[in-house]
Amino acid sequence: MDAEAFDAFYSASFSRVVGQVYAMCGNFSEAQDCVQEAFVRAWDHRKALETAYAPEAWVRTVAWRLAVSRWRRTRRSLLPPDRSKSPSAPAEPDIHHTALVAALRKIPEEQRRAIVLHHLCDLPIADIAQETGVAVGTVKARLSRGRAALAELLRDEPTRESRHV
Amino acid sequence: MSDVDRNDPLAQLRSLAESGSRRAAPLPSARVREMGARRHRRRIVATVVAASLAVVVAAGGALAAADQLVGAQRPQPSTPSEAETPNEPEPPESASPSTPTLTQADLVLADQLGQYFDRGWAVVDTQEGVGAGVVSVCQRGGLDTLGDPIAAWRRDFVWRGDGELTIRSAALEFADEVAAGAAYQTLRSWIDSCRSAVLDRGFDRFESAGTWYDVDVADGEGSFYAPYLYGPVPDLPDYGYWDSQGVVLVGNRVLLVSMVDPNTEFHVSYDDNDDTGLPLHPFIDALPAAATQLAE
Repeated sequence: MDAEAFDAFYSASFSRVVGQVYAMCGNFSEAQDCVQEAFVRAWDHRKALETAYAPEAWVRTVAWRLAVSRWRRTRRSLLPPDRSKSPSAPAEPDIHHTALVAALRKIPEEQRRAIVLHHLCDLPIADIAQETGVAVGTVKARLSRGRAALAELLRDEPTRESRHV
Repeated sequence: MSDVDRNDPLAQLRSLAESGSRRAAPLPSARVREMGARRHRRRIVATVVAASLAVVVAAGGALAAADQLVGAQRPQPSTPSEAETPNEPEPPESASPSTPTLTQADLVLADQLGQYFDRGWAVVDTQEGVGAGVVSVCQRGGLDTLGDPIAAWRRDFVWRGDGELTIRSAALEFADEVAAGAAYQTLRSWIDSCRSAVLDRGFDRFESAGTWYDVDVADGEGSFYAPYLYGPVPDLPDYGYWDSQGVVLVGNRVLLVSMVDPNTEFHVSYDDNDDTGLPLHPFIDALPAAATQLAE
């Protein structure tokens, strides 16, 4: 992949992948940082990218792994012993999606990923299985459980208006 | 968001993604290429340095061997931990990114497995390649065919206490991070679907008595599943094999590790803050240590 092809790929897919990873991880800044880093790595590995079955899936996968890795480290660092010194969770800038972001954070990360890949990226289940490295049946189970959990959590979440009634 | 159906979580999710896409502010592509090129140069330099160090260590090993030939015979290492000292790495032939740099120096050490019921672990074997026999009872195929690793090392341990508790481990190195990530996911899927592999091996009893636990791995990810229980154990009808399976991904390297305890019960803690007095599951500290070792 030469510079011109990379630039075209980058400008066409950066925003889209940020949106997808944002939906997977629920934190916009984190999503954007991870996608940016994934594109840096994509240029580093551009020979591998040429032979990848889908370069955008390659970038999305790398960004997702970076996000998961950062999220796990953050979660670990937020644990006691001294809660008073714990940094607060990253501020969520989009107040309109507060309930959804809170619900997303409560469902397992692999379920979130499967939902986003299927319903936002429009990937068929077989492609999700390939991208995530699991069996088709596992993808189906994750989708089913994730959708049910998300619906349940959002149903339980009081709306912004109702809190003030 | 006002146009989005609040009762439709998928519509909300699409709205969330769209809001993220709208707000995305990419760096200029020339800047991204520049950062990628700098990262590429750093990676090449790191590979060259690793190769140079390997040559130096190998030269040291050769000198030591020559010294042994001309000098008095020295006693063989008496303990496994002495035997595991890395002194004969294979020097890479060239310094391309796909040149294997994994050596036995990257394998987890006995001391890093910590104490289990006040007893440590001893290395019983270290060898290049994936070795004979499976590392994990959940394996659906050979590790050497798992995404075509460019290097592999195997190290097995035995507990120093009474009993036949063992840990088996294999470190695999791949041409790039994507191949390693795919292998890592395959290993996780094998562990997820362990039942069929266990039953195919002739065991007639299998229970999934546990769950996945994440561990904190710098610049990578790691987790383990514990415990599976299967059997029978020959001549011990009340016993079963209590099996824990761990996987670690760091860069282009993957570690698979399993701990098998033939016993009647398996009592460990999975929380380093709990005060039950039970020993912490060894993988909680061992996997991060192994990941650090693997990354160096």
